Amino acid sequence: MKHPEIPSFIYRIFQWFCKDALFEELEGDLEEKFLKNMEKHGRRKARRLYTMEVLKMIRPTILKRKTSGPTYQMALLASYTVLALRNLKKHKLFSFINIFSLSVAMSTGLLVIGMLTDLLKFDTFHQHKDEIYRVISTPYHNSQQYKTQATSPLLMGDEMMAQIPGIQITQLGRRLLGEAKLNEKKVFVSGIYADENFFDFLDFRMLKGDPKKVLKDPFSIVISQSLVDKVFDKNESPIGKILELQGFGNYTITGVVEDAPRHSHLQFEIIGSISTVQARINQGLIPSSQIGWEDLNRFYNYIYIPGNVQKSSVVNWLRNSTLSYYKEPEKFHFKFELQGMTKILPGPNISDSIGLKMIHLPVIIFSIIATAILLSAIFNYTNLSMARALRRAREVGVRKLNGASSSAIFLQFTLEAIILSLLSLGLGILLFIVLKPEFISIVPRANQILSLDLTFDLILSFIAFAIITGLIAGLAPSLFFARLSSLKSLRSSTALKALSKINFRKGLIVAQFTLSIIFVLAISITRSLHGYLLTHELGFERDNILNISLMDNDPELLETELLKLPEVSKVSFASFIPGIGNWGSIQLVDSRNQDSVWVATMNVDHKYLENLKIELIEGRNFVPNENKNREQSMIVNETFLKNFGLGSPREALGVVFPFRGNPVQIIGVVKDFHFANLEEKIRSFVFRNTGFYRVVNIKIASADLLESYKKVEAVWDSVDEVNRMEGRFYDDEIEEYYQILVDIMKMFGFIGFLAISISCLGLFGMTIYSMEIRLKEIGIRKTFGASEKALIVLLSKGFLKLVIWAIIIGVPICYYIFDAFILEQYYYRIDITFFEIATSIAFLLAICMATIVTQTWSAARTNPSEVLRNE
Amino acid sequence: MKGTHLGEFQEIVMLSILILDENAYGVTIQEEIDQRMKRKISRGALQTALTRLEEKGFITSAYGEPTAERGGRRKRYYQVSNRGIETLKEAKDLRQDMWKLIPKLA
Repeated sequence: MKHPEIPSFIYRIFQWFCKDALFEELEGDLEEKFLKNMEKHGRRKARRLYTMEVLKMIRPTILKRKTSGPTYQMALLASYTVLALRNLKKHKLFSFINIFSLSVAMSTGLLVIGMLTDLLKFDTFHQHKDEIYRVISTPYHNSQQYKTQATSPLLMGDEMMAQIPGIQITQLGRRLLGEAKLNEKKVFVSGIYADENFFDFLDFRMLKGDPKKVLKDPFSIVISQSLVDKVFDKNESPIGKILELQGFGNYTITGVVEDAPRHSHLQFEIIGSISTVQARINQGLIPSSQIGWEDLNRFYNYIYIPGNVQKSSVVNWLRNSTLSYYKEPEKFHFKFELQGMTKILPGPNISDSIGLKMIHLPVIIFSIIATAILLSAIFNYTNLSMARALRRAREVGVRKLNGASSSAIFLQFTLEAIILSLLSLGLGILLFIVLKPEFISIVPRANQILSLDLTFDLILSFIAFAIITGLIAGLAPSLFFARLSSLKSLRSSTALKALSKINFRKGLIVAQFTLSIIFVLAISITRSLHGYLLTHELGFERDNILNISLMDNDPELLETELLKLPEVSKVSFASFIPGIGNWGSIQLVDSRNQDSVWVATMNVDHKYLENLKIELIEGRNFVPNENKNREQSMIVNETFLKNFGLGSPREALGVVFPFRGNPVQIIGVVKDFHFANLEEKIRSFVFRNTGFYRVVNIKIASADLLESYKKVEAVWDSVDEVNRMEGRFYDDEIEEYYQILVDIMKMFGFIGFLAISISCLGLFGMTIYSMEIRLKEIGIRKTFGASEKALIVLLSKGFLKLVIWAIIIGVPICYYIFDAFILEQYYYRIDITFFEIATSIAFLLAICMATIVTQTWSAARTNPSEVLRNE
Repeated sequence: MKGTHLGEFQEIVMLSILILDENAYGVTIQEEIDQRMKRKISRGALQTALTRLEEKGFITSAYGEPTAERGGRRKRYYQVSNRGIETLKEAKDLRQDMWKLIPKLA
């Protein structure tokens, strides 16, 4: 053996490449020399010299020579393929378990690959994709950081162009959408604003019109080819026609643009000239603050930084020079940064995006989960192949005696795994096709972003994926069999038992079930959370309330008409629907320290509190018309009193706050209620009564809600001839708001089902193999009088222990993930209780017991005379 | 005349084996050359020379008994064959003849 101080890695490399005939002599010489060097130069230098000597051994006289030519190897490969197929056919159970679990696991892997392929394609069609950036901005209020936005000031563009030479900018705006009249037809269109540089470096193709001019003048518009096809006949020219866009004015069509490619985050049917915005400001239609440096959630700056301009010059300008546009930057300013064009989708979760959006975090999480599932299936293969060692060891032994080298055996077993993996891929692709629509429907916004079309490229990457999967799955068994010495493998089977890496395999099973218990517990916790959120007392009554959008109708007229219905008992108006995460904000000054504080607000009429049964604990409600000419009264919540230090509700009555200079008095105090959602803590809140309403709350007195809904709809149609009614019952509204949790449950449910079935199949296979091996032992035990019951306990114990270990590991992991990350999102939340944990464990144990006991039971029932007869 | 040509390094290796006599194996040959020629050679380079020489039939080799100092591995002792000695002599004679022909030094 080698001397312990010789670097073993180098030694092994040497052993690997050196001709067998020379190895003994050369290694002996090297070792002798090494020992001399150790005495002379010390350990470190001796090791270094040894390494050098080995490296210098790499020369033709010493290197092993290939023993065979290519035709021989092809024949070998063909023979291995036949062998592998025969083996799969012979061991049907083994093949079934592996193909089933691998194909199921692969289908999720294929979804991930398909998704990533789609996502990575986004915005790569621009020729200068790596040199185009978007300015994104993060607001800082008294050095506190708020959420990053994709928007930046419209005024920024010109300043930047003037101060940084060499760059190009195009400015975009969002939300140019609505009902349009075009060519005597009514269509709903949506699109963006852009300036005349839009076509300079963004690679959208103009079909008609001069790209430099079409977006120059105010009220010009470019429309997409698909809109042209929808509205115009073949030989009609759209150029010069007028497009009337409700709420945005009339536009002249100056050009036609090819539809944006599917893999573009910018999508549009119409592109309006951004100079229109300035024109509309001049007309007094929109406030000029919209384009300024403070209020920026509508416009975008896309910058092209050519190779000869330093990117850092732009970054520095954005970081330092922009501060001068704020009066008191230390109190309030935006921090501007660059975001690469290809980093937008998938990208970080930033608000006010233009066009399509997909956040990368869920993508990453899903990829990790799919990898875990795939690993689980790979473990099955590894595990079962090693468990079969007993049978196949003989085969390997004979092969080796007949002159097969280790590498040949390795190749054979690897090839077997790859063939199995490719077979699974076939089934996996079928599953992929079945799962695709469901997957797209669960992932938010996926229908616009993901196509998951089976293109040739995608199939190629699937095949590569299957081959890699096979390589990984086959690695451990192949190595194991390749190393097996022929002597050991042909000797008695007891010697082999110790060989087949029992602890390693046990570890794999524990890992699989850890994953399973995590999913089971995750579903259980999400279910409890969902139930809690839906039934949580929000502080107002929502039963039998139908919320409908007011649109531009006259509230009084609608109310009178609705109250004529016997089913309608009360009608009130509001600007928002509380409880589903929408609210307005207003800045009030705290008189104690003169700080401006943002408080949440909502406009309601005088019947609102009564209709939703929000409890007034002090003071009075609004009376009709009291705020009609001048706003003078408001109602606040308890938290408001606490935050502004107003003392008891009685003391607070009559306190005056200036609303943009106009004094408004507190006339009432309501009990705290959840105006936002359960993710937010209840904050200071103000009810105002200024008559700006968007929602009608209709209390239905009848028990037949569906019939009442139809009647309300009939009334709506008589009042509003243009729009259709948009209404929903409050309970449904809240349910929809928390729908995301149901989607998560579905996802966990599906993936958890995969994880559990894969693990159980693996366990099932393992039990069968181990029963086969122990059949004689069982027979002997029975002859000596062991009862069936005792045998079942004895045989099942080992496997159950593994499952219990998995539970001990998995439960704390899942508990921690939910407690620290997921439940943390909700301010009002559940705690994970014994109930969720106990039911999950019971569920998993029941499934495992069923899997194990069916096998141990039939093993325990075998007639000992049959198994012991022939020895 | 491939097969009988003797390279300079190969000549030195053969001479070293002759000097070492009974104790000529990898490590000692390497050290002999190191000391005499003041030139570090790797065991790998030496092996190439030994292989070539053996192919040409100039040296023969045989395994010795295993020794503890090299982890129980056997040494391989080299000896110069008669043909080898003849070739060495021929080379030496050839050079001497040529030396004699140099007018100034004689």
